[in-house]
Amino acid sequence: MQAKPLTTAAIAIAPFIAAWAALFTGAYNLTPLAVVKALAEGLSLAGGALDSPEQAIVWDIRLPRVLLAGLVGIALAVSGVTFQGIFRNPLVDPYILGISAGAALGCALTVGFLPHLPVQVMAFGFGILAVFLAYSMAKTQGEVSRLPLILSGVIMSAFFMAMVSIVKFLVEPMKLQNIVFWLMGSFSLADWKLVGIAGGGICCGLIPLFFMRWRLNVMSMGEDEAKALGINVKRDRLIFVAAATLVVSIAVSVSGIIGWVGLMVPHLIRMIAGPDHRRLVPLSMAGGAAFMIVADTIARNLTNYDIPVGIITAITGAPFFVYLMKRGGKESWGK
Amino acid sequence: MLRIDGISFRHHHAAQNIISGITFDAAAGEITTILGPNGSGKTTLFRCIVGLWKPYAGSVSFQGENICGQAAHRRARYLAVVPQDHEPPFPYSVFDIVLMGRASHVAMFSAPSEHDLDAARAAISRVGIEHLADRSYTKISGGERQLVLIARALAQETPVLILDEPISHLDFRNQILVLEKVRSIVAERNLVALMTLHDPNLALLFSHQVILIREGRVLDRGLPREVITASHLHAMYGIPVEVVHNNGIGFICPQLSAVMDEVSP
Repeated sequence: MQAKPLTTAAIAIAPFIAAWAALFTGAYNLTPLAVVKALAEGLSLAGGALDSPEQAIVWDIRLPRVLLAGLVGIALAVSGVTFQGIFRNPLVDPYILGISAGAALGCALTVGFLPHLPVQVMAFGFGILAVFLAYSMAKTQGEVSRLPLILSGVIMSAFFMAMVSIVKFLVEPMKLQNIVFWLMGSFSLADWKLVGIAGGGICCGLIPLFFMRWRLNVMSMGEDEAKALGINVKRDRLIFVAAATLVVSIAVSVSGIIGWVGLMVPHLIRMIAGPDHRRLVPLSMAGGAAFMIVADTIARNLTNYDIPVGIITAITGAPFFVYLMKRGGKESWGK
Repeated sequence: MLRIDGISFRHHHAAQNIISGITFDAAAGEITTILGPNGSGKTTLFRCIVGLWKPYAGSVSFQGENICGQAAHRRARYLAVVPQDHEPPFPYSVFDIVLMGRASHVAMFSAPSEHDLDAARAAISRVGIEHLADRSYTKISGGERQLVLIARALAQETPVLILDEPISHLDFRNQILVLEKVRSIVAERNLVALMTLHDPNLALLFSHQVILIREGRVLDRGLPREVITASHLHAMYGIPVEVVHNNGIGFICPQLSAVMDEVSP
């Protein structure tokens, strides 16, 4: 199952093509040439005032939005790969495990009651809590089987979303509006500050995930076998879970809950390039970024309104999950 | 030489030992086979030796160095484990599976080096499965998978090879082929090989030393033809057997008529 160099290259450049296309599609028509011109002018100004509307649209609106979508796409896809690997379960992702919901509760609490705290702190805390609870609930006699893990993730998700509803019920109307809109999952609030937060936080988590990616192959063989092969399973699993939860929490804090990306992208890449994590992780990063940029471009151009991108990913993701379930048959649900 | 010295194990809060005071040596270049009925503590002993469970007494040492309680990556430099046939959750290629044997040689934040890839290739060619290297591990036969797992253990480059019922899922032909391959590799590389088997006939054919385990204790150990006797097998399995000799090799044959008399209530 060797990937052809050409397909690998195609996946690797996909996010750049997607970003390129996203920059000149939108309500305000820009030709590709105008985009280049605006980009170049912006660079030469180097932080100075932006005069033309083209420049303002490209630099202040579309570019940060494309970058943010790309970063969040990377975060969700890589965390999906990581959780699927360490839990040996092709049907999980941060959304299904309840981590997104946990992080969302953290964010909602911060927005509602702790305005001085950066939202990312609580998002990470509750994200970790969610994955820990889902994992311990599913663990019976030292083993985590596939179906129980998915069920406990669903339970965690439901629980944390109920808590979010309580927060929504208690906060002032203005804040409520913020929370509701942000929860739907959207990049419409993107600006350079969010790009900075997302870039910094997601990179922190990605570095260990990227460099330890070969170990995911070994970890996915199961705890006993990984140990016998010389892996410190407890330590490595902790690093993987913490890093993957960090990138998800950051993603949720800047864009709300965007589901299914962490499930779909790794699967598609695995079908194309094989399951070896040495290739799967970097290619999922590329695939996640491209997918998210395209989904967001569709979301903001489909109608006159800016539809939350989370709706688009859910519309594609739910049928995809059913497809995987049916294709995998009994195997998907077994141990 | 691998020395198993007085290993005893019981579960937390359990009053009774599962195994007690298991002691034997396994020499280099030889296959040492552990034989025992289900529930005799064979698997427990196995898990204690490979370090998955911690015995409350006793030690496992290789050439005088105690490897019990060592960190996983250090123990993996001494012991390579060939697990029972299994299915990974993802369809890794055979080469990817063999390469996993290098885990204890690869630093935490890196991927396998060219040297690791070479070691994996060498192990694949020693076992003779070059033609499978690019195939998906989930799409090959059980016998082929067992060879892949043996290649992975060789890629680990350890002095000790531990095989957990390596042939339990294989057909007759593959059982013989896999064990013969193990025997030739063990002799050629002067490895210590420790394996568990169910079939006393195969133990007779392929091992240099046999350890009989009954109710958590060593019943007897020594040369296969001296240890695998009718009376020992009867004591272990509760079934009357006969040892039939043919060309100097003994074969175990259950006495069917007597079995029904003895086993039925």
